[in-house]
Amino acid sequence: MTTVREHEERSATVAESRQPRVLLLAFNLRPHERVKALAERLLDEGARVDLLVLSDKNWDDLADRPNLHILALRGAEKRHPVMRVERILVTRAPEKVLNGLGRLTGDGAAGRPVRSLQRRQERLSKAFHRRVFMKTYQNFRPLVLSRIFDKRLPGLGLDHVDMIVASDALSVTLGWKLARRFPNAVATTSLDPPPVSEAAARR
Amino acid sequence: MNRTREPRRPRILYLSFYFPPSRASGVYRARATANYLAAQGWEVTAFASPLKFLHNVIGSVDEQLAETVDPSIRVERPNISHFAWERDLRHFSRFRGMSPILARNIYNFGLKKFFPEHYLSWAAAAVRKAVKMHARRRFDVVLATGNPFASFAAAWMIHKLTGVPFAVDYRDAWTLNMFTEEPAYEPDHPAWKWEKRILRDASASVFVNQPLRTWYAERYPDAADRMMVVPNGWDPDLLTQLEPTGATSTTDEARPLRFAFLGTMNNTQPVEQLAEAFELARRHPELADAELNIYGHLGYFKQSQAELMGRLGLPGGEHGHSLPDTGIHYRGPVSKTEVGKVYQESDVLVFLAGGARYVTSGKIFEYMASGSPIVSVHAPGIAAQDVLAGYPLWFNPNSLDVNDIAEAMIAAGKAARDMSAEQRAVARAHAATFTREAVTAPLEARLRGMVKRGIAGGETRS
Repeated sequence: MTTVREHEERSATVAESRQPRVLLLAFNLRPHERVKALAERLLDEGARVDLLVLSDKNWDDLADRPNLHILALRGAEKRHPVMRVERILVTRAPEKVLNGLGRLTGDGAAGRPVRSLQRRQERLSKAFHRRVFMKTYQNFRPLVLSRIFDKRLPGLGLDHVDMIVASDALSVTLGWKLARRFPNAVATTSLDPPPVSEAAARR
Repeated sequence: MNRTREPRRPRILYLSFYFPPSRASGVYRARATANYLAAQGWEVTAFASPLKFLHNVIGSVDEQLAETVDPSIRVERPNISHFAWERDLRHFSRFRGMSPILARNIYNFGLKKFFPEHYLSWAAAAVRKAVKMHARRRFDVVLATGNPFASFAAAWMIHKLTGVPFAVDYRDAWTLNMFTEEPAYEPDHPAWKWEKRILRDASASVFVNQPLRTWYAERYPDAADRMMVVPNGWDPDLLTQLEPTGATSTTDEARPLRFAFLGTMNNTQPVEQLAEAFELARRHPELADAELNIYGHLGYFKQSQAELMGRLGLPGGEHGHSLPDTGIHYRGPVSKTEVGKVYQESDVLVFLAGGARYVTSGKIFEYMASGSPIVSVHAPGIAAQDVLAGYPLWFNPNSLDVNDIAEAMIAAGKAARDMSAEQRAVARAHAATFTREAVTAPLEARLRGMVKRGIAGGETRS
């Protein structure tokens, strides 16, 4: 025989296990107001929202919501081999060579051309980073970010996902990959997706 | 043996992205033009949007309207890329999924380099298809209607490739923002370059009202002599049930009045003023318990409905009446073949329009055909006033002040109760000058004049 209390507890457990789950991908450092509004809407609809961001700096106002879990990269992108190699080749290595030369030539008149070279190298490295590397890297950045996040996703325990929202262009690649991994989830770039209950009912 | 060749039917290619079963507001002009040309002996081939686009992107169709298209019209549907509208990540190609920024940059490059509209891919497919069809059997004339204005570019390109003369029909202005009355683009925008070359080479360009024609004639004086006005008009074949059963019938004088707006409501219209004015007018004993029924779509896309419901003071998602009851009811879309019934059951029609000087709205012709009182809710000086000027049951507050609109509503309500059969007949006589047949005939004659070879009922020009 099942008591009323036991029945209620069991229902609550089932309800909890069926709580709709949403992956909201928002990689822009300054999220658009509409993205924040969507996060709020999804939480209000009773979903558990896993928010994947590059930095959690601009999400303070939602951080204390109980069903919100924020996964932030916090600079992991800078440690990615692509960025490190570029930094070493374009900035660090020339810096080291010129610093060594500077030490050899000393502070006097003999070191003047080296100091001038150092200043030029600094300008050139910055210009190359901004105008050449970043412009090219932008095209591959969604792929790089998706790979970095991919390694962290097991920590979220994604047994089921009802909705995936890629809120900006940078997050599309990860969203696209997740859409293939969770074939029954709603996977969209729309900031006006269907209610989570509707998405959960599709499972 | 002596064989005389029979003159053949003129053959026209009609580039009309929005064509039935689309329910876009401009589709009725396209349907009527194609039907009229077919009725006048033209062999019409229409290029329209793919059905997938109407179902998945626009989100609605009017199948009944499609049944009113002349069966002799051949409808082709060139493909369109859904890049700009696709939101489902699963429908993204592998390339777009893995390189979304590169894919976007390439797409934007196409818009910048070739034609600044998302419908570019449809226009390109239309050109390819048209050239193939023309190679098999020649077209005599190409007529393109916009928006989208990519159809104009397609017509121009077909003209350049095949030499077939073309005409363009501006259902809306392209480079003029009709609502702000300012140029729609920055001076260095490619739209200007395109419009200039299109109007330079078009054998005719058509506008829906005189102010628009004047605006274009001032900007393109070399093409001014080839510009003409073809108002929207109304379709007698779609308005078959026009005899009123409203409050004007003597049997039910005490029944609350029914006001109606029929059409697509959008963000440019003074929606709040309409709701507030109706609330005010309803306090008058003549309008006690009156209803304002909104028929049609709220916005052009399925997502826009909630916002407009809010602006009307209707609760979110509620498909029906307002709470507390302000008398405003959203009744949903009506098939074009059923609109006659709506006019029949309404006592007063509300002409709600955005913009001013350059806006006519296709709906106003239908409103006049009903012979019912019409209340204007729009900015003063709207182009539609030229059409309404001779209509005896027009109640124009000439302002967007809610008190003025409410007064006009009350006066229209009184007129609806007191209206005689003679008054209605006079009103309808005015509307009869704007039937689609009457307004399209000059365009047909102009198109016939563009045909260069011997055709049935026409002349050989060269």
